[in-house]
Amino acid sequence: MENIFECKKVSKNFGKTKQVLVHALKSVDLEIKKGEFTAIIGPSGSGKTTLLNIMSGLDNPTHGKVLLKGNDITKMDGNELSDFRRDHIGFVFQSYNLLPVLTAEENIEYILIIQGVPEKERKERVQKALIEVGLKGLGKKFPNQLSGGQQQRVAIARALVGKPDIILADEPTANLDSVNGRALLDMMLKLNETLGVTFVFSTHDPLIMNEAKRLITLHDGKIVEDKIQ
Amino acid sequence: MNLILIKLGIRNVFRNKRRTLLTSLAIGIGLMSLIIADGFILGMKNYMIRSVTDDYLGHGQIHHTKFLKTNKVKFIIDSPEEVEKKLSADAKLKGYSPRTISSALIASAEGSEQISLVGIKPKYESILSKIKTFTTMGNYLEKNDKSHILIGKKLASKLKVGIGDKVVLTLSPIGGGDLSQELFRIKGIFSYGSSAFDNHMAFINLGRAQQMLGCKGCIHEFALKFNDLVNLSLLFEEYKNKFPADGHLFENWKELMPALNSALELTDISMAFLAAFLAILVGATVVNTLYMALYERKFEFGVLLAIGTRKRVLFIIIIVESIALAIGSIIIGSILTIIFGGMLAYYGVDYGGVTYASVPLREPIYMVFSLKQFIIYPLGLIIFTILISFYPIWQILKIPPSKSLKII
Ligand SMILES: Nc1ncnc2c1ncn2[C@@H]1O[C@H](COP(=O)(O)OP(=O)(O)OP(=O)(O)O)[C@@H](O)[C@H]1O
Ligand SMILES: [Mg+2]
Repeated sequence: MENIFECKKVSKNFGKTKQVLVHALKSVDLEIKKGEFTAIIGPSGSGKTTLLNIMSGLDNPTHGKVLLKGNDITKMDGNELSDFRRDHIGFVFQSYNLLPVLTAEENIEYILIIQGVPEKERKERVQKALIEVGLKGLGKKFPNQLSGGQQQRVAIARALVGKPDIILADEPTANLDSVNGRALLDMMLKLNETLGVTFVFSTHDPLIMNEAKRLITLHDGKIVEDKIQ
Repeated sequence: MNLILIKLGIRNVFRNKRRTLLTSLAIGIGLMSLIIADGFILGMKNYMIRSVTDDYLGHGQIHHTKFLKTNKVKFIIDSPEEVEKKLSADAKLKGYSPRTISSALIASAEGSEQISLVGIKPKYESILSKIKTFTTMGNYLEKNDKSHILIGKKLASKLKVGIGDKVVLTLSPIGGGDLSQELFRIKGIFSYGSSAFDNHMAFINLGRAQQMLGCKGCIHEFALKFNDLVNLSLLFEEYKNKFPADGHLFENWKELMPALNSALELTDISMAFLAAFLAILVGATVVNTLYMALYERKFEFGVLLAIGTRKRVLFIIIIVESIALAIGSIIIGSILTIIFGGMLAYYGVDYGGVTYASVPLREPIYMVFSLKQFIIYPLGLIIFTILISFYPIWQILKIPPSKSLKII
């Protein structure tokens, strides 16, 4: 399978002076192949969020390269990075993913609008995405009318609808109870299997990490284990 | 630009309804103050101009070139018949009044005073000035009144004279020689409310004045009043050309009363200061509100940036929000203006005869609405709001999404 993502010797330091310098990532090498379903685990402060931020271009590595299909994203300027995220990356955060003043449909449609997709196609793709995440008929609801689990599904639908190469999710189940967390993960797995969507997500939850096909363990900014399960 | 961006901005404005309402109320009150101040100053200006021109001055006057500069009676208008012919033929004139002006001594049994004696044609003068209206005791002059005089209320009390009493006028004729002295009976007493008039003016028939001055048919001043008040400045131009400075000179009220004109210009400056002051208040309110409203949503903006919104687009989303806020404020401000300004336009404010720039404010001053107030000020407010919101927006856009997305 082709590599869609590559991190080459990626380091990230926070802080400017030597005394308070934090080595959040230490020379991380990582390759993500198309269709993978990868969990990143590790104790709090081990660098999971930092790694996901750097993979998405939200943050710049101190050293190293991040390649998407061979293109180095660390060399892109502001607008290029915005467009790169818009076209190639789907995002799901832990919570408050959605704009509260937009309905579920509008939140999903937003990505297609900034991608410049024509209206008719947008409407169709939004409805399809809603069905794929199991929220058929709930498109007109505002986020505060949806449960936490439903909100995360809308977030995944939004990430999915733009046809990205990869969906990055930072602890997508952290704010859900175990039943809803499990349901969300099952849905992600289904999307991965039926549509071939590539997922990389971080988690603390042992039940969730067991579902992953590939498990990367970070410790102190280093990958200490990388296994296919 | 897509509709959803506008939707986003507008819905965001209504998100915190109380804050939005309070903010637009504050901005709206600023707008209202501006419009009312403007309308009130306009009303005041109109009143003062009207009062000055209607009371006595007219919209403009014609004199011998040197008369006003020197105040010498010998500078009479060269060919008054010709001037009068031109004036009587002009349909744009509502009226004109020929006058002689000379200083004189008025004496009663109780004392004497130096006055300015004006010879008038009663009928012509009654169209041009308010002397007839302000003659509240006795009667106004008539054409055939040979030995009758109108004097001011304060002068009458100084001389301790009333209607029907006798006074003696003494003045020196234009050609020099013996003083003319004549007996007059007080026909009417006027009250202008201005001390210059009520203390120092007296009116007699023009023919009698010319006779006392020893110059048959001589005129010092033609006071003019036009029909069309809107295009006065055009008429002034026309009359400047019609009466160029050869022998006689046309001057408009601004030239005749430079002090009043500069007083009125001063009100424009105070208006500009008021506008600047209100702009600072409104500006501070907008910056403050917007900054709070944006800062508490920095996570949302972080999400928008993270999922691929360009900063420029986010900028537009937020600008739409501040425009929506400005428009809401304009609606509230306009409603307030119509309510409170309408009251001021209807009831006016009574200054009880206070004198401003030597113009007595006898009647209440009414606010005057104009279309300009509801176009220029709101438009200015929108532009100003947009400009002022750059700062908080720039502050928000500066935060990198990796920072704003941190939950703790
Ligand atoms: N902006 C920052 N400035 C300074 N230090 C930072 C910053 N962001 C992260 N760090 C530090 O970098 C290290 C890695 O943080 P990161 O958030 O990536 O950990 P994490 O694995 O996501 O932890 P958690 O499970 O708690 O989310 C931590 O020591 C953290 O304190
Ligand atoms: Mg984290």
